[in-house]
Amino acid sequence: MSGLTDLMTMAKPNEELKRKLAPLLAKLPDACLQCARCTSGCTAFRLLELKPHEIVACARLGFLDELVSSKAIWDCALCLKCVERCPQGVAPAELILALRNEAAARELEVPEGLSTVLMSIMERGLAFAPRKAVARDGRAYGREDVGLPALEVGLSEAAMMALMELMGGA
Amino acid sequence: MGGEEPRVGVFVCHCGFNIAGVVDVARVAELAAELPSVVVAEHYPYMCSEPGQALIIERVREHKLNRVVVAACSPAMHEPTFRAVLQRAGLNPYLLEMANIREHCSWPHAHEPGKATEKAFKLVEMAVAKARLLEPLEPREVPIERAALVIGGGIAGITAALDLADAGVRTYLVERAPSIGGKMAMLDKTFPTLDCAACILTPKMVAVARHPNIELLAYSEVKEVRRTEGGFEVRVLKKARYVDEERCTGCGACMEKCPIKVPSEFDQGLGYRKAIYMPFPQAVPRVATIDPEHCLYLTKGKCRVCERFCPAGAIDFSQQDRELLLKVGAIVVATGMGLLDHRHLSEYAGLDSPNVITHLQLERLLSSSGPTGGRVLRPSDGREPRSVAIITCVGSRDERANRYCCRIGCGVAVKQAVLLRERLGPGAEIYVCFMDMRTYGRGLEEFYAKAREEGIKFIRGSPAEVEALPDGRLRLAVYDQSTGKLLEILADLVVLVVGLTPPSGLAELAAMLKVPVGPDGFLLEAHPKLRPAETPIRGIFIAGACQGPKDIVETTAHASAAAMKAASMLLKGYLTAEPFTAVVDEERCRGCGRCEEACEYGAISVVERDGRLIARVNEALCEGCGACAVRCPTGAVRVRGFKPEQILAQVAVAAR
Amino acid sequence: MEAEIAVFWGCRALSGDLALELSTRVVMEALGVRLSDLRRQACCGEPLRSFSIPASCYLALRMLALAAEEGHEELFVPCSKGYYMMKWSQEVLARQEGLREAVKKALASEGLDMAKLARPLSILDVLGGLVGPEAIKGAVERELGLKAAMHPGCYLLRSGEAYRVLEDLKAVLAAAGIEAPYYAGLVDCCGGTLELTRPDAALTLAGSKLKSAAEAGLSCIIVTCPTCFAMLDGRQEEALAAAGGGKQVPVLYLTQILGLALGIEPRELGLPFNRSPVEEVSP
Repeated sequence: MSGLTDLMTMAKPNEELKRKLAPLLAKLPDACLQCARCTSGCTAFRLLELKPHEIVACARLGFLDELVSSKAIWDCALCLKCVERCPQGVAPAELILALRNEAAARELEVPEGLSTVLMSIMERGLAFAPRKAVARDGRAYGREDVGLPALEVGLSEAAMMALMELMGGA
Repeated sequence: MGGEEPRVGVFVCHCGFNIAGVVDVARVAELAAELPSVVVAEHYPYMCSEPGQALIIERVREHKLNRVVVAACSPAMHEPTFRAVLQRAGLNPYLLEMANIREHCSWPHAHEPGKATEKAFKLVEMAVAKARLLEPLEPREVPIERAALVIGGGIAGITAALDLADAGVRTYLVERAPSIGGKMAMLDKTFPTLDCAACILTPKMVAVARHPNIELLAYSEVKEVRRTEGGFEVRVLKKARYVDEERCTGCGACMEKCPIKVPSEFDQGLGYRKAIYMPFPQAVPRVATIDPEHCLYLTKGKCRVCERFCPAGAIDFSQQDRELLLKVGAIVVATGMGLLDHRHLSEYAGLDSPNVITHLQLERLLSSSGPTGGRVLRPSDGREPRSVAIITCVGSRDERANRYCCRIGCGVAVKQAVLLRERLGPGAEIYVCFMDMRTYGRGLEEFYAKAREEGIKFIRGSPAEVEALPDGRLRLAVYDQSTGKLLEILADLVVLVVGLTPPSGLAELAAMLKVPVGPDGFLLEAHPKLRPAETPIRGIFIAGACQGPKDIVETTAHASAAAMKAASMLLKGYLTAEPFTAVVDEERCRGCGRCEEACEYGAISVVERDGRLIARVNEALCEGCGACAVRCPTGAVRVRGFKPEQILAQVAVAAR
Repeated sequence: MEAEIAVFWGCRALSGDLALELSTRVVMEALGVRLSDLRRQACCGEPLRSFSIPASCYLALRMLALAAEEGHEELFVPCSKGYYMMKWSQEVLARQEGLREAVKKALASEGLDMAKLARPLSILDVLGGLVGPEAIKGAVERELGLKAAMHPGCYLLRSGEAYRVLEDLKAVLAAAGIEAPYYAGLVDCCGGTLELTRPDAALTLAGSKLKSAAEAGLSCIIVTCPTCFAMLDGRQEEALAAAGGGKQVPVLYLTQILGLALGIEPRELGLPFNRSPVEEVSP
């Protein structure tokens, strides 16, 4: 049992989860210098108070469960500014994606927009349902109406099965 | 082998836990005692210590040993130590063989003690096999030229040159810029004392020019370095200034009249110089130089105004580059450092603003000899800034640029903040955004405290990007870790403390000198802790930032160390070199010349003697690398101390 | 010049963003690049990253493997997110053997070989590299005389070295006679990806981006990615409202503005499908 405790929540570090998420990451959060450059430029911070450097710092110490069940990890805009600027290559956005994966695996609540996209991909192999485009003249046009060729779109059965397996195995 | 039976003593060192923590040293000694020719085998905690050394001497005398094997750390650490022990014991120091059971055994195999012990014994057995075949050898004295070359005329080169010259060594100082002074000449004040850089540097620059033992070769470059018997032969190119150095008085009339303006390198692009110029008023030598790339006459055949107005008649457009051949015994490399181009960093990509400057550019604004006469003015509109933000670690401690810390950035940031407060007054807003504050060194912590007391806002956070607003102001957002607030700073001027890099051309110079370079691109010292001013190459020393960025205090100490090491070698008049040189069996040699082809040092060549072609070794140049011995088809060339039978004896053991 | 490359359009184009596909097809033809549609097209997996990184990488590599199977060495991916995804997936899989094996197995279930993947090409790789600024300049028929706000978008900008992407984009625009100076907010995110999880905040970001362009006095915003287009053009009204008002800004695809410079008719470039006031810059 670790000798480290978060006195605010009495939580203990979850080293096992840290080890589990490690393969998905560019670099372990341990490499973090705590310069907070990621947070300084974070697209989501101003509006949503997402602090990537704090997430990395918590992850570094192993306090991962609170991150997995937090709403904050869904606030990331995935703009990749933090990935681009981190002097240690820690890639906070990728850590956030890994935490989201764990949250999804635990069947925690996922924002509706993402669930809709997921279902669309499962259904038709596309993130969005095809719809006609409305032009200036007020009329709706489909691909065929503007001379664009019909394309074979969608996932084969084998691909769908392989996809489900990878998603289930996460 | 001198006709006597080898009597080998084996001494196995514990090296505290370094070896004994992994290798069963008692067992290794036990097994060694059984080897043929081994008369005594022992183990001891620290063989290199006083009692450890005394133990060896005692055993040598007691058992009349004539060969010694020490199983311990790398010979690079203590071979000289144990050679001295043998000497004190009355044995030829080259009858020692070391087995490296630390770096080659206990350290890399720390997780497999059983196998490590087996390997340690094998290494000892190999050493014993060679020890039996060792012959007494004599170190050789190589006479050296009592002169030194210092490459680079910044504070490091100046310090080294003055120290060498004061010690009585004839010294050449080669500097590629038109004047000596380096980066220090660009500075306004130095931390933490706020000494004026020019005031403490220029007397030294003048001393260099006046010293009877120093020949100053400014506006010159090293083109080729050859190893010779007395040390080195160096080909230096003295570039044409198109100004007669003897006649020019440095009056500056030519500079006033010249119609061509060029961005000034010395002012880091913030100001202008003319096509005929002196880089700064205190230049040494105080001689004008004509820049052939921008001079109207040299490029287009027009003008010559400088010639018309020069009162000393010093302009000489017919001047040519000259080549000089210098013969020296030692070289001190003091080539300084360069600055990182921050524009490739993603957070500064695309940013287009003249008011985002580097710390060295700010230094030029602060300096009274700079483009604004020492007033801090915004490059865009010449107005005094009311708000300045200094950002440290730009491109340092950064896997995308320089992994290493630039060492002086924090000191520079604090210093510049304090100077800005002085110049801009108490009403100015001055921010320093930092990742860590590393103001180590004497007086620096107190200096940092003073800066805080002057109302300079130190913010523990690294800004992500700087934006240039349409009105010309700069905006940056920084997360302040102390307050937990995301702060926006609107500044009139942003100063980036950019990373420090090896100077341009260092890789080529290193290749010329055959000096190794570290993974960070700086020159590699012989030992990171114990020999920082020497290189692994005999006769070549390093001083200052070319070995890694450092401040002035560290540079002068380093430069004096390099000068001392060089002087101690040069003043002795000879070098004591290892006896491991090639030797030719003239009976076997057929003069084929393959050895000469293989030798990188020009130490072996085929000569004619008594009507035969035969290889001859120049011991002074031979480095004992063995390339010739490997190529020799008849086995005529062998390297003392590494003869085929000696090596093959070890191989036979290893292969078993 | 003549060249032929395979193209993968991506979800947005395939589900109704006609402007991207129309303008890209017609401009490529004008510049001598023949596009051959990848026979089987499906999501590159980018939105799945939040659910399962390995699954998302599988879908991305699947497109590259299909392209290779159809005999193509390169695959043009005009959507910046798709392009980024295809490069990133390979990086991620290189990190761990377990992940690699899982995706290899998934690909093999369709008879695809993970060792045979086409190389992804971005819009800049094609316009700046394959075609080149010189060729573009040679094909220009109309002087647009514009000072535009280039919006490389997060995924194109951060798929390589930022300063290079900006240089290349500037060069392509300059070749077409369009000035694209620096402006505060150039590298900011339009909020497109955030829309899926925090639509409220996303609109504010888009509005902020529109404002930056206007404040810098630039006449239009040029995007490369359909996600950015959907936010900045498709939802401009809402975005401006979320940011507290502001003047409307014409938003065009890079291929649309290039097409105009090449003398192509606005209709053929899909401009009727842009919701922002593109008539301000269109002849």
